[in-house]
Amino acid sequence: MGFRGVDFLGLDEELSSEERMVRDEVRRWVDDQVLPIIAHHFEAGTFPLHLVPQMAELNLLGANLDPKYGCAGLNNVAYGLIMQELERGDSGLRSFVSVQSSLVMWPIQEYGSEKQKQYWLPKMARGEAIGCFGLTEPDYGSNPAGLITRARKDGSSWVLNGTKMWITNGTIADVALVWAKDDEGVIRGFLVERGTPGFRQNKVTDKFSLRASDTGELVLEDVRIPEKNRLPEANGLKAALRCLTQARYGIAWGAIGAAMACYEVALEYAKNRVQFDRPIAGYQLVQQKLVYMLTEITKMQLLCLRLGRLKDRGKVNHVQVSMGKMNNVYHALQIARLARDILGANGIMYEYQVARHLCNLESVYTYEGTHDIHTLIIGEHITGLSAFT
Amino acid sequence: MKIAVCVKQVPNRDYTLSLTPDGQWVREEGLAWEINESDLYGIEAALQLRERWGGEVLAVAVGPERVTEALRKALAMGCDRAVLVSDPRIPRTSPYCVGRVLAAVLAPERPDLVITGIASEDLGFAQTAGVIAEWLGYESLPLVIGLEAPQPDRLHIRQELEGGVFDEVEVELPAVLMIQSGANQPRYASLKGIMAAKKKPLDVKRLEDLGLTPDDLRGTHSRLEWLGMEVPVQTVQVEFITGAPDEIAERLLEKLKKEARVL
Repeated sequence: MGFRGVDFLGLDEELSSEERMVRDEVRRWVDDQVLPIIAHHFEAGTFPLHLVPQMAELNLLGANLDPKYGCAGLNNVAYGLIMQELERGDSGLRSFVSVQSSLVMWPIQEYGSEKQKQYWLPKMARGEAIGCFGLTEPDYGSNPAGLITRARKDGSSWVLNGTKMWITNGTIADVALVWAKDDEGVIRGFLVERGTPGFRQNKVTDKFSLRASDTGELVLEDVRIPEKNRLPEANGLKAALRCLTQARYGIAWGAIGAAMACYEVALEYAKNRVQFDRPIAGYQLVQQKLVYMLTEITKMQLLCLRLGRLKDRGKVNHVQVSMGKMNNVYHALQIARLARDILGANGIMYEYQVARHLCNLESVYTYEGTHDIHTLIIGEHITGLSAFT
Repeated sequence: MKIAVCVKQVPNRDYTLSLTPDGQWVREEGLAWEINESDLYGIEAALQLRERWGGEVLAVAVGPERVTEALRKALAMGCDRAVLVSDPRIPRTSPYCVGRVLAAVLAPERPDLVITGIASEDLGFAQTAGVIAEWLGYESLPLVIGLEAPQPDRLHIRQELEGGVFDEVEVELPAVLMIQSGANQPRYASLKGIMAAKKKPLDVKRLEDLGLTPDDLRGTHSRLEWLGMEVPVQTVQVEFITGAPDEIAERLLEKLKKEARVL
């Protein structure tokens, strides 16, 4: 039986027929191609690379970017719905598309030269080149301004030195967008291609979360990058943070997908699991959990739909996106925990998905700006007082 | 090669059906709709033939306004244009009338090939293709599970018969094919396809536009009367068999054979 979605308020009516068709096609693809194999990849700790050509065929990569560079040119609500459906499959899969689309293709479209756009974007939309985004460093996560990777100008090229950590798609990437400080302390973005001398892509192993996602460490030792590989318009930390706003917007939607998957499993399980001679769904404590899940999913949907409509009108700001990411991932994680609880011992089995989502969401909760950092972003916005330091 | 595919919109299989109070139709409120499964295979077969020999694929349907969504999906998958005949005067539960109307859409188009699904999942008459073939004067072939087009005017058809037997026939076009689920792998609508579908022509017609009147759909032509629908009442019977193990086994075996007829 296919996934029907959770739509307590009849929000489908607020979507255009194209938006619904996009969602339904991706939903069917996830049912057919992702769910049957994803637990195996999670167990094995491998990214399902064979899905990349299929995602490219469906035009899922850079879906909301410019059609003149081979992208589908969807609006931001349709893009969000894609993220939702992918994360109903697995956060790792959604992370792959988030990074490819929002953290590499979007900055190339936004900050790149025309040559860079024409070279990379069609290739990345076709899945022939995979990208990763190197901002975080071993000692600089929530405080990216402190990053210590250096870019030294040397004639017509740049020499990069430093280490990037927790990089999604890190070892499978053909191109890394690396952020480094120049001699004046200005943060700039560079396209570093696989195989460039001095550039190493190491796999991060032994994770209990995002196991079906490729996580890497990027090591740069005297990596010489030609000036033409620098994103000409990417100057200053703000340029990098704007990329994160794109990705966080997709994460807010993605969290709905993981939450819906957990809710659906928990509801079905509770209706069928009999204890003390009746289904456990008939007990007040279980109903309370299920109602919390449904209520929060519905609020998450409202938040995302509003963010998406604002984004389509060019009116969304990064603080609003922070609220979406902060709220939705927090509640998705609570929902996954409650679902695991309702399922009892079965809750830890691959068969029921919820533990996989739960483990994944533990990462999503702190990546792309931790829950606490998003809280401080909103706190600063409403009080005018920064509480970061 | 000009190919027409007939598309029917049916209730999504993941939804539980309930009936209207008068028992004449399903309650449409809160129901989701989708393209009839075997019609998806028909669309895929048509698109593959167009990719091989060029030409165009026309998607046609009869039904209320909501059926435009099914046709948009067909366009998103790659069909070139679509026609919906939406007219409340068409008795949609009559395969004769639906076939007659579709034939009226197709007659001026003169397609080389018309493809339908093997049967609709909602009513299951499996007669529309035959009616269309009769009105157009085309050959009709049921139970198609595979097809190849060695030439643009000739098809090599594989049909699945009862008992695991297949036959193979060659047919000179024009023809009507009834295609079975499993004949190919229907493609997903790509996002670009969905965006492009918005701009493809989708004409909505009424009976007059086809030169038909309600009288053409009545009288001696259609002798089928729709009486209504019902949901079967589920009954559960439990019987405990007691006695010695040998006797229990013997009686259980007998019941499984004679009453449940599962052995």
